[in-house]
Amino acid sequence: MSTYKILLALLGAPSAWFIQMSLSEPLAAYACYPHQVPLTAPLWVDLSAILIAISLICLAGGLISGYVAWDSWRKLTKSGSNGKIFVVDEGQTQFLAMLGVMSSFIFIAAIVFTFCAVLLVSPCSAWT
Amino acid sequence: MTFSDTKQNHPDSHLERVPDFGCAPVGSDAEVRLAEIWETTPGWRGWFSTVDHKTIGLRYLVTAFIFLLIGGIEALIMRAQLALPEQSLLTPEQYNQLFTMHGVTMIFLYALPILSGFSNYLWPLLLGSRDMAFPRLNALSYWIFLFAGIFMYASFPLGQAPNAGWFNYVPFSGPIYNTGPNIDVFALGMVLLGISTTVGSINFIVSLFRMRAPGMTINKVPILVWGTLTASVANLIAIPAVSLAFFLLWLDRQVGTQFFDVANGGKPLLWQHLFWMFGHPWVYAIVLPAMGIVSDALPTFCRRPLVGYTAVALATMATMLLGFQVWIHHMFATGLPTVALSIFGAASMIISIPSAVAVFAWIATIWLGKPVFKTAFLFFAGFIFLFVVGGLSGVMTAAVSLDLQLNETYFIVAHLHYVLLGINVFPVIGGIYYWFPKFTGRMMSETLGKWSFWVMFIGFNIGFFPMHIAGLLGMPRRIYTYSSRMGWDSVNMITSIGSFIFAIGILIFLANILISLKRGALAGSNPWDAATLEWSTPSPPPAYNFAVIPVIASRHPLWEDRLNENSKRSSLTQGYLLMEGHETLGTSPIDAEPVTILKMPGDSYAPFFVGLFVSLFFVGLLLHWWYFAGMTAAACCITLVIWMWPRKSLAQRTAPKTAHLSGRSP
Repeated sequence: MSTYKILLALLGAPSAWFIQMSLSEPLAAYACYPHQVPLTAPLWVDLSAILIAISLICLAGGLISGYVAWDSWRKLTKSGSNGKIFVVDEGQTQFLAMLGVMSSFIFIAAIVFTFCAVLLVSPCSAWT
Repeated sequence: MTFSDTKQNHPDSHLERVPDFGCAPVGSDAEVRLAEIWETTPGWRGWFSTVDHKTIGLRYLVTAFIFLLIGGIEALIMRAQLALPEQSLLTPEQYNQLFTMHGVTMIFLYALPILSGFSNYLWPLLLGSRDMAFPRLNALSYWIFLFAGIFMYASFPLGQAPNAGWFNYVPFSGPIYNTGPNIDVFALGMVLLGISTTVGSINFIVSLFRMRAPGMTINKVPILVWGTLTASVANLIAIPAVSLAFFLLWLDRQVGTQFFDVANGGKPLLWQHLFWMFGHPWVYAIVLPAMGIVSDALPTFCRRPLVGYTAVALATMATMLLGFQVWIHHMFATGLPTVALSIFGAASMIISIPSAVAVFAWIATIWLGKPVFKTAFLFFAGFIFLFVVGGLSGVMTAAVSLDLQLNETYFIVAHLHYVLLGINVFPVIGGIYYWFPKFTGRMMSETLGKWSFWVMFIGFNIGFFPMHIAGLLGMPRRIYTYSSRMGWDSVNMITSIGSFIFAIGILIFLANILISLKRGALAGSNPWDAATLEWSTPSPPPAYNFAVIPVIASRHPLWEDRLNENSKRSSLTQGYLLMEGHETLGTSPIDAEPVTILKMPGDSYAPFFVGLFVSLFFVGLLLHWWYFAGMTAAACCITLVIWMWPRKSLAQRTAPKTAHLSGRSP
């Protein structure tokens, strides 16, 4: 398995979630509180659409990473179950692929959770 | 199909050497020679110059534990003050300084350093190496930690200790409302401590990826190593934020800048962002290695491997990564826009997934194993219970609307104590019971151990659980007294009683240590019949750790015959003989293939003096002795030049691949 695939499987979904958070939070915060006074409506009318688009793109990135991780894991376990004589390695590649599957699962869930926050809470509402 | 590692450069073909493969039993010429090479000079010279990771680890453990005791005494004084309403044992200012120093001590001077102690002592033993990657940096890390601790406590006897809480919010900590030296001591002390943590973290990261025994591929490292690695990477990213925050605050206070002065365009919230960008990852940094202690030691008492090794390793790393994007949950009440808060609330709740994975793995390990109810096991099992309680209150406060109600109340104090004491102190004390035989060659008393556990566990829950109720009754944190009409008398009295019971448990533990050091039964190399590599060495281990660098075939090198997972066996008595000076084997990051013979530096005074001069430089800044600061900075640079002066003897020897291949079939 190529190094790039392993890296994508391991880091793709976490990176997508990190990007989602790093873009959504400052945009949402600035749009509702740009200077000294909080606003009752966002600075940009399309804020919700922008936040949803960010979340969807990141979700797609997470899913791609998850697919690569799953595919890598499946191929590695298949090659093992065929009973081939050659030794793949000491198990480290399978371990990394499994880490990729688990990491993708957790961070896809994180992207969905964050997406829910964007969908369910109106941007500049008060906690009342 | 092996995962590719970085290719090695061959700077000088004359440096290549094929290391011998063989054995060096105790008492053999080779073993005696190794001992001569690695042992520290006795007396004060060796005391100041040693770079032995085991000595440094034990120093970390002892120093951090002394800080725990100091912080604990501060807590008891506060509990005495709060036991009854309207007491006047302490003045408000004394109370401010006490709760600040209690937090600073526990969070910064105890919680991480004690884990650094475990990791410093254990890493090379767990990884099959003779030392950490940078032994002198290791010594420097300890000396700076010690000096930073003394620095932060220097103003305490003068009544000028830090007094704005451990998170030191501006504007209260700014130059207008806090005119004494209190905050300057804290600010400069934290920058100083940051140097120690940073160099220590670099050492751990490089050690993992370069110092593992051949065959210990990345999927075979103990969970403690994953925990400390994760915490170290996090520290490297998080420490700059807090060092910058404290440096900017010091500039505001001493140079007249206005980074946090709202009247002049500064932003008080900038402090909170910078502090919590560091603070929340730090909270995980001080619990994940402790969780690693449990993950590695618990299976020994369950007589089976940890359930879900890969899942627990991933949970460790995922928790840390998630921890970098949740810092705003400490700022839910600052008036940030709602959707921004919700995003962070959602992220905070997600942490419950990897946390639950780890908890279920531990429970499954106990369930599927045959538990042996030794003292260490009790501490680890107690930890799981406290972790669940602390975790549940954490998920509750991740909900923004509930957090707005609970913010700044004793509910938060209860949560953080369940998390920090439960996930740090209990595993740490369990870890000391577990590794004490390795540290000292003697067993601790099981009778006293069980007494210490039950007294601590009962005292802890009597002390801290009622704090939840105090918080729900509306009691704010950080008040030095309260009126009897508030209805908080009973919960406070119960809390104070519980805290003193907990302290008695700690005293029993200390008594056990002192008695066991003198009269404990002698421990063999593996008194618990454990699986990991450190138990293959004598107790206590010799200066060189391993007479030969072992070759590892599984995660449980000492249980291979019992588990019979495959036909491969680790080679512990036969391995790479490296005895031309301070040598150990450098291996590749993922596959742990031998790539080089690392020539390790020997003992040196340089780390002590660099630490001393750096600390004196900060003293100069604190007291505005600018010439003195300049002189100590120059002295530090000169010492660094002496330290770094290139020497031919430290040039690395490349181990050709043939040596490895021939060595893998002993």
